[in-house]
Amino acid sequence: MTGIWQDFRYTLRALAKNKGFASVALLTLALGMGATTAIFSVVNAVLLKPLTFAQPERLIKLEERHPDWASPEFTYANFADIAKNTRTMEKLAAYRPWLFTLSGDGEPENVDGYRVSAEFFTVLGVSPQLGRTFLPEENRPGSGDVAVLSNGLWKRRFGSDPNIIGKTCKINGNPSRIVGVMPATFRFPEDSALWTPLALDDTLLTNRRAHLYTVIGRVKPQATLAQARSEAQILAKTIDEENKGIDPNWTAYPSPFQERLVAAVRLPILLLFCAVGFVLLITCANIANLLLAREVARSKEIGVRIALGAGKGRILGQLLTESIVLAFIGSGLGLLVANFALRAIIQLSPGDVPRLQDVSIDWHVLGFTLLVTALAGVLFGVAPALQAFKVDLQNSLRESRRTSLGAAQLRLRSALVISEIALALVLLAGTGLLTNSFVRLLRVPLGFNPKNVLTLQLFLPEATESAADTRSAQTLSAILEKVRTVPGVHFASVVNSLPIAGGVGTDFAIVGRPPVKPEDEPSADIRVIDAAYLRTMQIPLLRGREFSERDSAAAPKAMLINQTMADKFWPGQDPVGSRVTMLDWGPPLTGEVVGLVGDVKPNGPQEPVGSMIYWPYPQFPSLFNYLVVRTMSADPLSVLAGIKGQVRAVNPEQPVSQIRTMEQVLGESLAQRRFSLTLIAIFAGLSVLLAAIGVAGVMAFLVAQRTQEMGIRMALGAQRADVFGLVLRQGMRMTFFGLLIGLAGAFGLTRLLAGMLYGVKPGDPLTFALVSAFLIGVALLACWLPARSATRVDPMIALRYE
Amino acid sequence: MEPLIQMRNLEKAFEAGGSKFFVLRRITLDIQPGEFVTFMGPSGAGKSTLLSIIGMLDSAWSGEYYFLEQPVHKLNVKKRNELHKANIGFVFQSYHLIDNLTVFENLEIPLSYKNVPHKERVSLVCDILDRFNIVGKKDLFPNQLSGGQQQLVGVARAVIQNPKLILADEPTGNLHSAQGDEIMQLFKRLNDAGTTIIQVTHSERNAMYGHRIIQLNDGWVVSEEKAAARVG
Ligand SMILES: Nc1ncnc2c1ncn2[C@@H]1O[C@H](COP(=O)(O)OP(=O)(O)O)[C@@H](O)[C@H]1O
Ligand SMILES: [Mg+2]
Repeated sequence: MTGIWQDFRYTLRALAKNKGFASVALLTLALGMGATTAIFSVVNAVLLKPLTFAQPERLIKLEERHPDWASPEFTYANFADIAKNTRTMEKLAAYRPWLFTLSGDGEPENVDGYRVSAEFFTVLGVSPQLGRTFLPEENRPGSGDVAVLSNGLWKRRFGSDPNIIGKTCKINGNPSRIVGVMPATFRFPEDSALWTPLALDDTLLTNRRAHLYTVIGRVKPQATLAQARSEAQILAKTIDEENKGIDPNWTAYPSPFQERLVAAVRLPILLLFCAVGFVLLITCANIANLLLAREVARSKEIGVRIALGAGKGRILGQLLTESIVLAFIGSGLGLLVANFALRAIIQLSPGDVPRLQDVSIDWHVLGFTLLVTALAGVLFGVAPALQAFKVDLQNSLRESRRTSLGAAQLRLRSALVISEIALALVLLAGTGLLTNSFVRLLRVPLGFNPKNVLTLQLFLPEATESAADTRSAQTLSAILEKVRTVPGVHFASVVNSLPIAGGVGTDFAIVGRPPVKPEDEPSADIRVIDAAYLRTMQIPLLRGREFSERDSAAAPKAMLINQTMADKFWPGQDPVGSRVTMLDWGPPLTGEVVGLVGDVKPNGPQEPVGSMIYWPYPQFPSLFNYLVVRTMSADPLSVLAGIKGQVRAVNPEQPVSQIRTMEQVLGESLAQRRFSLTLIAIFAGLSVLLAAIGVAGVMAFLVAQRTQEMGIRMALGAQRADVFGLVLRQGMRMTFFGLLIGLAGAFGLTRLLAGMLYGVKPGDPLTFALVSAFLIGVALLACWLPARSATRVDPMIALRYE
Repeated sequence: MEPLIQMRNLEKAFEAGGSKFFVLRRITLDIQPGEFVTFMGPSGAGKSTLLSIIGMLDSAWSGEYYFLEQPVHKLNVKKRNELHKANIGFVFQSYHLIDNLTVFENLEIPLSYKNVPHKERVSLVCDILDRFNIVGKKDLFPNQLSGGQQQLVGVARAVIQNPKLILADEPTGNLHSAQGDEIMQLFKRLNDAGTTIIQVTHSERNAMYGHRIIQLNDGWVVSEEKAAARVG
């Protein structure tokens, strides 16, 4: 014990004495460990930490799976059948996102919330902070409107009123009774401000076409997930057979809830974790390098210690103590870095990373950091320690040992730097590919002009689901008419979902064509627009006509289709005049194709364009609408006040929300990519910097080792340029080795990125060439100073007797 | 015939602790083409320093130095280097072969700095290997050779570019006498063939191979004498 204490004190003294070494080593470690800790905190918070619900391991998400399309939402009837008949699962609950308008007291505002079936809170096993959650009978329409508030909304809008229970507030135009307030720790789904019962009417209760509901539940304590899976499959098959042809070959598939919750961000987060692991490895290699460099100076001391009777164990102990102490001080500083980095990450992150808000440096993170620190300490301590074992007593006390030790060291240190370069290249290659994808995405033609467009959400509060009717169409017309009078407004329109921001779809059939098997039924995105929409968004009309005033509710139903749909279903023909039936939304609705328009990206720049059908809003009213306004000035927000005023003039209780320019919408669609790209780029930059420091260090060491050789060469006629070139060549040889290994690694590892790339393949030669060239450039710079110092070698030393 | 080397009042000093400390004082000497000159003197006398100045490795000195009638003291670095590369070969006491290069590659070094085409380089190296009878050693590394063999390679390396002047700083200092004699015989033969040689040695016996002995002490030339009786 005293030995260790002595070693510890010795280490601190050595660090204090060698300030240059200490500051470089600790700074490097602080960055490497800080980044690692920060990213592990994210991994921990988002992927690992058990959910805060009761018995989270039994929670499942139940999804519909279809052979030909990807969305996992349930229809209500399917959900109800499975909930009724299952023996392996208990307490299934269905919910769907909803937009709520709060009005009456104070500013009208829109908040995001969820409509949930009665079991929702029971499934999650949470109790309210005040009041109660929903009763089964409240899940029926007409049973009186009730709501449960999130803690956040209760605090913000209701001033934490302790007597809120039983009070009413106007939600979507209806006076609703507040029956409960949830605790602050309950934030599910993440963005939910309030919950109301689903309270579906009969048409939706029995509907097997509208896939609207997310289903969660629990596996019974005596059952397993595997049993639940096979049972769900059987139940789905039964439903399929009883309802021939609606969703052929669909099945139901339960998965652990947590896994599904984070499924979308799992890959990017794990990739970041990998990247930061690389940074940490490079850090370790660099510290090992620094320690090795110091050891040359200390080889004599170690020799003397051995001569004085220190056992190898004792020496090893001392060296490892040193490296581990170093690691721990570095990690301590790293925690500060991590704390800062985490705040930056939360700031930078797009809002849609689940659970990220819960991120913190907790005991799990500390434990992980402790473990990694100890491992890192051993890792970068072991090379110098092994080197020390090569101490041969006889030689160690003679000067000449320096040269032989030097050669072995040089090999070891070169190997370390080669691995640093290889690791850095892999990170650079990943960054390069992601950047390449990102740049391509920015250039993707979207099919409309996003410049000078203001968008805002108009959720019509007085409408109900079954009555998205003429009333809402009239309100929209009134609003549009007023908004068009606002100075600075060029065009104003409505649409049910914005381009590139996702939307709704339906199966359809073409009238007069032989019926297809249900599993082959084509589907299309649905957009509901007004007559000016094409002009507002600058979407080209390719054939036929636009919508006009004529396409009123009473007029024959008209639709526009996009180029892709026309090419697919009317190749070489004119679709105008054909009739198409929309199958999924309530009773089948048939319309005549009156025009053909250009393709617009529906789900973000990276997603392909599918078929799209446009309806005029009077003929197929939508509850959810966006107002899109093309402005004359380059600052679309300049017309906002005027628009708000006109909306209020039509209906004082009509809130406007989600005010964004179309360019912001575009930015948000790329936000997650931009975020991961930024982080990976930071890590790549860090790793390149560290590798450059490594290269410079080894080259300086090499020059020191070979001072005499340089002198001899100069005496034999070498010019400064020759010596400079010699050193540069050495550095480049090392770099190329590293590059080669790195490229091989990158070819393998970038395949993991495939899912995050756009328009570029993993292993893209051009990207790889560019990042290699970049790394070579950096290595050249790193060799520059050592090479210059080599040219300053005095050739006379070659003449002097050593 | 004009002298190969002419020095007039050449001085060299180091700065040490603010004061000047002279290593060479008012060196004035002429060396004729084809001469074999020996510098002798106690350790620290300035012999190596003088040799490196003659070899143009050192340019921090004052006075006049003409090499082949060119005023070295007026030449810029580039010109000096050219003069050095074209005319001077070095032989060192501790051979100074480069450890990680083979004998062949060591011999190639001076040529590589003179833009000799590859083919010619190979033939020059082969020639010299032949002349020095070390063809069998061409692929060995320096640490696989005896001291005498290493110095043989050292001399071969100095000779390969056919210099007018060979500068040898205690070339036999690390060798036992039989090996030393062999190297000295070699110098003698080279000198007989016309190469000017300047050597530094502590050995009277080696000095006998040369024509003239110049004694240095504390930076001063203290005496010049003809070698008593040339051996060889
Ligand atoms: N770089 C230097 N700085 C200071 N003094 C030096 C330096 N190089 C050599 N000297 C000194 O110059 C003197 C002559 O050295 P040197 O020419 O090597 O002598 P010799 O070869 O005759 O033994 C010595 O006193 C030596 O200490
Ligand atoms: Mg000397």
